[in-house]
Amino acid sequence: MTTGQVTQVLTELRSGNLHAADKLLPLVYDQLRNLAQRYLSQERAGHTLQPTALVHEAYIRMVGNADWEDRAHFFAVAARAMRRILVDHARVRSAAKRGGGEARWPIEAAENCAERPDEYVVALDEALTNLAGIDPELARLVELRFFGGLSVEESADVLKVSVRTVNRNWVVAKGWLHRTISGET
Amino acid sequence: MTPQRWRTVKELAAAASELSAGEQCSYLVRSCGDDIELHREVVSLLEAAKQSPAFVERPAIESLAPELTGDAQQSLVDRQFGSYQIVRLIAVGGMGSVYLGRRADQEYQQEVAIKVIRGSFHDGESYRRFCQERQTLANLNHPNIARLLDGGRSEDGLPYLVMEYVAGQSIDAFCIERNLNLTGRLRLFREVCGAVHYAHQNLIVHRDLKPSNILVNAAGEPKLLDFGIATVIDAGGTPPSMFHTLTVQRCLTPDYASPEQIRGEPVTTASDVYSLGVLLLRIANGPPSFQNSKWFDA
Repeated sequence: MTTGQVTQVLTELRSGNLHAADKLLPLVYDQLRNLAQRYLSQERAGHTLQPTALVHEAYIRMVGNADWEDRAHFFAVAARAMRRILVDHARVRSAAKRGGGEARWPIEAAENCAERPDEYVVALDEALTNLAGIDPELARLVELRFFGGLSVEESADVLKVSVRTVNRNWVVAKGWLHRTISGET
Repeated sequence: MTPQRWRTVKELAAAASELSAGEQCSYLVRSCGDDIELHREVVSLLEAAKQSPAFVERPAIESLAPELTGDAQQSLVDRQFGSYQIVRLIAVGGMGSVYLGRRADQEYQQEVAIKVIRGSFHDGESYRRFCQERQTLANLNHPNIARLLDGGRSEDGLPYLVMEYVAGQSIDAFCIERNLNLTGRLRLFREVCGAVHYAHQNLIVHRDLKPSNILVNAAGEPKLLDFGIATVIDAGGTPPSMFHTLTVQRCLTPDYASPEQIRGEPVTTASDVYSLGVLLLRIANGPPSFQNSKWFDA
């Protein structure tokens, strides 16, 4: 898909054809995966990837410079793609840990992280799917902020709500998710 | 739960999230009235939000793929931080990685330890506080304290500290290896106390005194590492989630942490004195296995 076709999909999205996102998702997914691979293999001296860099770079490559409206749609799709990539990553890793495989991430092993992010995120992914059935707005927020790595302000822009609403809803969303994950009611 | 009911719950929880604990309580009692079930629902949401793990506050990529977001450990080799250049990785710890470095300008030979701290500064204000604390520490000038030489942020915003590099072994290992007698051990301990006393007179608390932070060089001189570093990092306000975890982790090695540290209360010079007491027992007596003995409770 060329830059022009991506822009075309974004235009469809803007005009309210939400199914257009389905066409974009696999492409953004591939683009993000490739970018992540590249960052990993390159070992660029001292390069530190900012959490949103992947999403922003994918946007520049796939769309170029478009207006904010398109960016918002793109970010929403990219956050969904990031969710898939990261949850797959976490799933593979937590399965490896359970199988007694060698820890591949020495930093994490060194810290003996009590919170076990991998397992938690796999559970969060499931809970988030349930949340989307009850409150799509909260679910989108979690996708944008947690998986997409967008800031509070960027999330507010994409969701077209105030920063204050984002902050308030964030508390409710993470409470709902944690309660579901920890099995309390 | 009906959609209508959920909207009410969400509305109340969202509004309450902006209030202090005390206000929250009365607000919810007032708003929920007789509806005990509603009250319970909202409170359980807010409680769960508080217990939600800290890493959820940061982009998932940071905790799930640290190899992408800056902890690719070897990747900093040859990079320049201020006037220093990284030679190799020495250790990876909770707050970041420590590297061996040297003067980049070749003006003179000097080996240093460069601590690259995980995370970044929130804003100009947190960077200013970091610099302020760094300055206080840089003024510490004592032969038994490893000097803080420099610190700041790299071009791409990584906070770092440059410290005197100490080649040596931890004080407990040194005592065993040299087979020091009690007099020798006490002499060493007295030097450590002298350094801590000096820092306390300058109103600086170490906060993490333990054998691995006290290295003894080949000449038999003890050097205290990381003096007040925890304070500098806190001042920098680097990612709260990360550093909260870090603080907790530090306290989870309770052998040397004082009771108030374990309880998460403010740390004073007395906390260091406590750690020194444990250290004395350790080097005079062997491992700190007295944690559960009765006199410890006194």
